[in-house]
Amino acid sequence: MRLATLTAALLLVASLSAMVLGQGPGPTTQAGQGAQGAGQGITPPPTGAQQGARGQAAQGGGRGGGRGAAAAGPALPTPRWPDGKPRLGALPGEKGLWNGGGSTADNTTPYQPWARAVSDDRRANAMEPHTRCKPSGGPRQFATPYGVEILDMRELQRIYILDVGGPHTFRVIYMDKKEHPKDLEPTYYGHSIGRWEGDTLVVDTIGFNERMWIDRGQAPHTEKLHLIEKFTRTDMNSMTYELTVEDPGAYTATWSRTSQMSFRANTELFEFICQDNNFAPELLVGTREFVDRSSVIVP
Amino acid sequence: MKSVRLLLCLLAVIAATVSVVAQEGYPLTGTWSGDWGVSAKEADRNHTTLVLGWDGKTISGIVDPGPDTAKIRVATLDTTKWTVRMEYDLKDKSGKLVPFIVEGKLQNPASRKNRTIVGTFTHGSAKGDFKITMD
Repeated sequence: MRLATLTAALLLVASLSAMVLGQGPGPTTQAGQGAQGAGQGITPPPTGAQQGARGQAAQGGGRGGGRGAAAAGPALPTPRWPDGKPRLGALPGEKGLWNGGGSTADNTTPYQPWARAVSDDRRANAMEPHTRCKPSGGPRQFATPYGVEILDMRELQRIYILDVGGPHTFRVIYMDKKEHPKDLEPTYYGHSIGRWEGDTLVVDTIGFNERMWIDRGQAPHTEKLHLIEKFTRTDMNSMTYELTVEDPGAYTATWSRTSQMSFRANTELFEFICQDNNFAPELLVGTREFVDRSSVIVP
Repeated sequence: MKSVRLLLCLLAVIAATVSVVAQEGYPLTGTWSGDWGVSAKEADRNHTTLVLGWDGKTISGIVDPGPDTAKIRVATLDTTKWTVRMEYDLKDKSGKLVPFIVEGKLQNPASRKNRTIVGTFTHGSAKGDFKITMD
């Protein structure tokens, strides 16, 4: 019996590893290619509306997936819940995604020497984890190709941020918690708690792991990373995104950055599977210069 | 016996899977393995494992976890040249603890690909080459 259980466990692990090998590069284009020469390809969309949105995302060169297609003319006012709080997502019966907001460090950022050196080296030599279908927390989530959907589930007291491109995943903001759990296991998205300050949603996140980048390479971080993100929807089509970064492992002081997000109406989430569409399987499977498919153990 | 073998096999697969989780933060944080020796002869090579960490100011860590483990006494990383220096105490052939000093260069510091420290060591009167790669 024990032997059978062990064999089953072994087969399960082996099959999980082998699954990655089963996918060859699909029929893709390079429109989603990132600035570093790698990224996800694109498969045909299921609807015409998505196709339009995606085409614009492709023009973004993988740098955030579009520039926001605000309607001509003055934007409608900020949509609100009956209690007056801003709605961050689409109105009932409508759809829409947010783009932009991924701006982070620059030359004024108070880097520790190692962090500045790593930042420089990353952008010159390294491929970001996102190109290998890794989740990317913090501001990088908003730079995901095709945008993100924000779902405010008030009855659950949770806000979900779902990204279209990348690893087909989501992040949870707990609106009913005042403190983070102690002894958090570090994760890609960390642990987020949110609260309203007037019309601004303030999200406090800790518990990040060091397996991802929070942007496209400018801002290295450690597990000490603490992010405060402020979301203020200023009208139907616009949101101000204020990012504050505190990481004594990587920076000599707290620093902040503000950027804008744009709402793209009539666009919705579609099934994008990063692993299927990644046109750089050698990046997906390995740390090596070549892809060794003779082993069932996929690096 | 078969069960034990299967279990070991399973653990090896899991370990291989876990070990490839990339570390993208401080370039030295993580587990490193490799070897050092006074010559390239197999008999002169010594396998080594280092587990390094970073608290925002200081590099710390242990060497060769197990009965003969050593604690990193001093470690520095010069990010202008990507040079690394580490000091810890290892037993010499007589069993006496002797300072072991590594001076090397960090290669591929921000990449998952072959992040390596290559250099030399001094252990008492012994000198030779030292190379470790991040797991």
